[in-house]
Amino acid sequence: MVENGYLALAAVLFALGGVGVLLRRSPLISLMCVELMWNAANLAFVTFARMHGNMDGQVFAFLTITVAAAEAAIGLALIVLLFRRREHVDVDDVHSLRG
Amino acid sequence: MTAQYLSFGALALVTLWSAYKVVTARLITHAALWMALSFTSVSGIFLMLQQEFIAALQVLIYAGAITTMIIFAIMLSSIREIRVEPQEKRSIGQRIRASGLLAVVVGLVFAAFMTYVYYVSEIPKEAVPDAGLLTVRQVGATLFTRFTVPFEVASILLLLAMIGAIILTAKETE
Amino acid sequence: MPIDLSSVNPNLLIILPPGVLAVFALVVLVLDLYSQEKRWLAGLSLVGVLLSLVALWFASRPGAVPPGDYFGRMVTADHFTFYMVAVLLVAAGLVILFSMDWVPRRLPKVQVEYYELVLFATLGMMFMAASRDVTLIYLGLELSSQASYILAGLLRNDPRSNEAALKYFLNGALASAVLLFGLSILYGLTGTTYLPEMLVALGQAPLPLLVTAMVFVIAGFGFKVAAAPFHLWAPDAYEGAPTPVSGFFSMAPKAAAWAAVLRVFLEGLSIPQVMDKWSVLYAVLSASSMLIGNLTALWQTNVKRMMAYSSVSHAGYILVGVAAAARAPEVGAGAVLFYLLSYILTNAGIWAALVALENQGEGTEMADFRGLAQRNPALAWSLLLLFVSLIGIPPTVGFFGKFFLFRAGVQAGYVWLAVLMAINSAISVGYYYAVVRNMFFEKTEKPRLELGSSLQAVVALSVLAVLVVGLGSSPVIQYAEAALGLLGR
Repeated sequence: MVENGYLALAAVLFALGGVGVLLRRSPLISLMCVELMWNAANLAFVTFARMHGNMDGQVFAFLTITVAAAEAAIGLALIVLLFRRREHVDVDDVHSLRG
Repeated sequence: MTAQYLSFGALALVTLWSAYKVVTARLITHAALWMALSFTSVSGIFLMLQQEFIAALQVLIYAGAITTMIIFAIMLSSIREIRVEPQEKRSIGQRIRASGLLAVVVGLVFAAFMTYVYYVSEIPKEAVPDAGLLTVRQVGATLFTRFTVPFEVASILLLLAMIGAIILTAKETE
Repeated sequence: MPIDLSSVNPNLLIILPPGVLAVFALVVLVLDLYSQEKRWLAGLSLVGVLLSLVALWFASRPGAVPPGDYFGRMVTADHFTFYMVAVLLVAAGLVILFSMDWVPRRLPKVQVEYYELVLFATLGMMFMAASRDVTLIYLGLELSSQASYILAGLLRNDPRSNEAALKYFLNGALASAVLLFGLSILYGLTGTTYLPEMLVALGQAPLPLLVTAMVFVIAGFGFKVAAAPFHLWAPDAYEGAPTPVSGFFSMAPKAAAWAAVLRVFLEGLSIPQVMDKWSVLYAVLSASSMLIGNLTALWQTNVKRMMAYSSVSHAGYILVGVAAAARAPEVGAGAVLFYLLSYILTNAGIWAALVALENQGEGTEMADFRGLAQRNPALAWSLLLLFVSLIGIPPTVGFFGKFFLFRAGVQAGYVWLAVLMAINSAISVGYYYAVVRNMFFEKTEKPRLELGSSLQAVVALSVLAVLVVGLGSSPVIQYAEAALGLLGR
């Protein structure tokens, strides 16, 4: 069944993104990996929408794409703000706060 | 049918390979470009699913807007040192990170688990006509009838993102 | 003169509270451009919140809006919506009130944007609480979270604020991706995003996939409500974010996330095959949140950070009610709703005190509380009462909140969890007492602590509410328990 292939692809993409967020220390790369995860969830939504033949899934995917764009803008603004102070930003270096 | 399998296989391969390169890339700009490739090939899969509208959006927003925004942020901010991991001090943990082996293993385990779950589960599905499922007209009609409120919330969200990006990054004047 | 609302379109009435808030947010945004004097715009935002409450009162009157779904089944009119939206608006009003003196001092450049963001976040949270469609719940969650990320980073020149915002952002983005993946599977299993239809369709859904989706959704919401082990972002975000913003985080977004949890799990996932599974998972999360939150809070020297861990433990208490709601829906959900109100009312006063300290240019370390009883006896005694309420000692509202949760836990057969909650309340005395000891038994040379009228108002309201809502809790809990009874069953 082809649909299972699409869903499996979404799962692998999601896992790859998740691993990237957890392992990479650069906030920019983490942001990109989160975008990959969202994209994976979107792929699952659209595949399911195709299987069910109704509109809800596509519209949800459409709205998620909007959300992803907004989130990327805010995340980039925060990262740029941090870059301004330092040359090299690493999540491990973020330790003015304990914990 | 064979053509469908072949094209799906090719697209899936490109998607996953470029996603893997995002996770392991040493240069941020490379990661951003690989990400754009991954998004583009996912839009190819949307086309295979006969979702032309979502495929177009995927290219425009993900591959176009978001990637461009990230690259602009890299170029316009003061970071010239774009290499992510420093070369000198490399602990075992960092070597594992750099090799990307763990990423592959965890990704494969999770994917195997999810695929297994998908196969044992019979997802209820309706008989769907093959083509012409979704036109832009239908999306528009749905968005402005049943999904009016979420649509308005999404537009407020975009306004918020704009305000946020401006007040966070505007240079202090006066 | 009674106003007859029966001729007004209910669609219009039910959208009126969020509509009023949105209009005020936009008006404030535009007026900011033309106004030199910014302080009255804070007042205008507060007026917006109050008018939204008035609109809610009209909409919630019997007969005004018949129970049901409006706007393409997106916005739901029931007691649950009215109760939660009122609670969220009260929280937003209190936050605006205790920020009024702080914002011109610490954020002179972005004063109006601060209120703007609070209003937008509240708007998102109102939709989270008011919808039975996961599309709108998810979008509301995103609107409130993204406003929160910006709020956390508003102190642009303070590296700690930047870092707090970035950590909060990365964790929050990860959480919403996880939640989204879970929702996509739920949609795949049922073909709908509307929770009551989902409930019907899930009857024939294959169990392994359903359980997987459920775990994803629990993990996603677990991040948002900062339940251990998903709480790691919370202490850093609370400590680094501007103080009134941390207060906002501890009050409003969490309450909205709890409302969404109750909606999704009680209306969408309440089929017998999985109810027991999520109930047990939530019970485990509850135990770990209580223990980790309380035991870590004991070692904190910064009061903001301590309050963060305290909020993790309070998430654990609330989870007792969520776990119980699987077996005793009315009692469990009623207890959760009541506890949310009690937690917000109590926390407002405590955060107002922290804001007052910062207004005088002091920090929020434990040492800054030294000799507060000398410097401002009324504030010190008020704080004592509020801590008593957080611990859960009668006759405060916190006691009744814990009592209802305890009762729900016992009724649902979670006696061990209820007992653990009581033990944890006892542990929490330790760290609240550390503050009290500093206030009453240490000497200081510092001058008197002045509060300013708006902060005084918040502390007074908080103290008054802790006593009044505590002693008069029966109508509130009755309303809260009835809230669930009307959820489209």
